[in-house]
Amino acid sequence: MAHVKLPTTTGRGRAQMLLVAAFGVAVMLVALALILNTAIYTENIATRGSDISGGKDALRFRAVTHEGIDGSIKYVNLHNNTSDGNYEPLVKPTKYAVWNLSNLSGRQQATDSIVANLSVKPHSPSEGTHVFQRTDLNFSNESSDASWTVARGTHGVRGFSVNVSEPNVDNSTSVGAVSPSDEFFYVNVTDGTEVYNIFIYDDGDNGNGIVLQVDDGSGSTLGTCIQSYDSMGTESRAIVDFSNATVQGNTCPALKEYWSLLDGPFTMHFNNTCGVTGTVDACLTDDPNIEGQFSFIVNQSINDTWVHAGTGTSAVADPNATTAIYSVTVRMTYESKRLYYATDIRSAPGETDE
Amino acid sequence: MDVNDRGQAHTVEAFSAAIVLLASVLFALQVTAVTPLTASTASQHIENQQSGVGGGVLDEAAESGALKRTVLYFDDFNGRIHNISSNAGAYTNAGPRTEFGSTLNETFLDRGIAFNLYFVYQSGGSVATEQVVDLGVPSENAVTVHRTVTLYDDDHLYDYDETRNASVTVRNATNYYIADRGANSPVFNVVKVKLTLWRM
Repeated sequence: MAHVKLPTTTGRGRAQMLLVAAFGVAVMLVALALILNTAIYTENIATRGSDISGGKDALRFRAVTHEGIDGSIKYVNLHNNTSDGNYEPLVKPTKYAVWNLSNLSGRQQATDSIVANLSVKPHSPSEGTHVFQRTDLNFSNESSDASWTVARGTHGVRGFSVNVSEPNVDNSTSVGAVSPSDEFFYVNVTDGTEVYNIFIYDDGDNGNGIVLQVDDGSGSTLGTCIQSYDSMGTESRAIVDFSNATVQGNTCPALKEYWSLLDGPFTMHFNNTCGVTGTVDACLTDDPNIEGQFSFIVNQSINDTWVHAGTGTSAVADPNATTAIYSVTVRMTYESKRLYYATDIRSAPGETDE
Repeated sequence: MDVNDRGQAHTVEAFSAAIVLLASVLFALQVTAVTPLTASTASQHIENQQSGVGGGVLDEAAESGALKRTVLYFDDFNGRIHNISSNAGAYTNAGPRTEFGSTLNETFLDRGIAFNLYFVYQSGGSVATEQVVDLGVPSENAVTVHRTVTLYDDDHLYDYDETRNASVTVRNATNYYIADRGANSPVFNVVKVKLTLWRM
C-alpha cells in the first residue's frame, strides 16, 4: 500500500498540538469568567453605601435627641420667672423631659429593632442665671450705676444678644477709634489677664449704621463691624448677637475674639451705660449711651453673690435675673444588630460652640 | 517509524483535549456570578439616590421648621388635617399645602417620583401611624427615609394658610390626633416623619 505521506526518518512528531490548544482555550475561558465576575462584583459593590453598620442613623438619632433636649431647656427657662434660688421647679421637668424623650424615642426605635436609651448624667442639669431686660431702657443696673458687674468668676455665658434702640452717636470721621474714656457703651470681659472691650455705637454722620468695635483693653482695636439698621416701626433697631457673632444677622468675626475666655472663670461688666466709667449713679443724671433690651444666661447659680449683683426681681423696668437651667448632659446609648454606640450629649442652647 | 504505531496515543490525546475543554467550559459557566439580580444594579443606584435626596429634603425642612409646621398643620375645629376631605383621609394628589409639601412636590412629583408621607407617634401603649399623603402602593424599588420631630406643650397648631393659630396649642386642642405622652415635662410627643419614595 502506498503511504499517504512520506514516512519520517528522524522520528520527530508534531508534538501534542491538540492538547496544547485545548489547554490554551481552557485558560482563556477561565480568564473570561474571571473578568466577567470582576465586572459583576464591582458593579454590585458600587451600589452599596459605605454605611453598612448603620452609623448614619445613630448619628441622626444623636442630633435629633440633642434638638429635643435643647427645646426642653428653652421651654423650662421660658416658662419660669422665679428668682428665689430654688432650682427644683426647673430641674424636675428637665429630667422628666429627658426621661420622656428616652421613652418615646426608644419605642420609635424599637420598631426598627434598635435599642436606644437616654439618662441624665450626675451633677446635671447645671444651674444658671438668666439676666435680661425686656423693655427699651438704658443698660444700667437696678441702682442706676453707669458701670456694673454682671457676673464674676463665671464659666460660661450663652444666648447673649442685645437689641439696641438708641445707641450713642460717634460723629468723628474715623470708625473704630473710640475708647473707654468716650461716652459709648461697652461690654468688658476679662479673666484677669486678657481683656476685651466690645463697644456698640452709631456711626453718626458717616451714615453707615451700627458699629461694633472690639479692642484688647490696651487701646488696640482688634476689629470692627458696621451694619445698616433694620427699620422696625418708627425706630431703627440693631441686633447684636454675641453668642453667634453676628450684627444684624451678618457674621462679625471680631465678636469671636472674646470667646477664648468663655471656658472661664471670667468676669463681665457693662460699662459706660450712661456718662463715663467711674461715675456712680450716672444714669440718674446723665443721658444714656445706649437703650434697648438684652438677654443672656450665665453659667452660675443665682445664689452666687457675684451674679446679677445689680439686677432686681420686679417684673419690669430694671434688669432682672431669674433661675435658669444652663446646660444638661445626657448619656445616650444606641444599639442595633451591627452597632453599639454610646456618647454623652451636652445641651446648652445658644452657647458659642454650637 | 510508522505513524500508524502512534494511533492510540493520538486518540488518547484527543480524548484528553476534549475532557480538558469540556471541564473548562463547565467550570467557567459555574463560577460566573450571573444571577437574576445582576441586571438590577441600575435600580439600586436609583434607590440610593432617592434615599439621599429624600433624607436631605427632610433634614432641610426640619432645620427651617417647615417639617414641624406640617406636623402641626391641623384643623382642630373640624378634627382633620387642613384641606383633606373627611372621606379621603389623606392627600391623594400631591403633598400637603404647606411649605414642606411644596418642596416635596417640586423635588419628587415633578420628576416622576411618587411618595407617601406618614406620621408615626406614640398613642396609648403602642405606636400609631397617620398617613398624610397617599399616592398609591409603593413599588418594590421604593425607599423610606425618616426624621424625628419633638413636639412641646406650648407648640401651637397651624391654620390652613400655615400661619400660627394664636389660641390653639397641642395641649388645649380638642381633636388633635396626637396626644400628650410626656408626663410632667415640656415634651408633648415625639413624631417620626416617614417618607416613602418610588419612581412611577
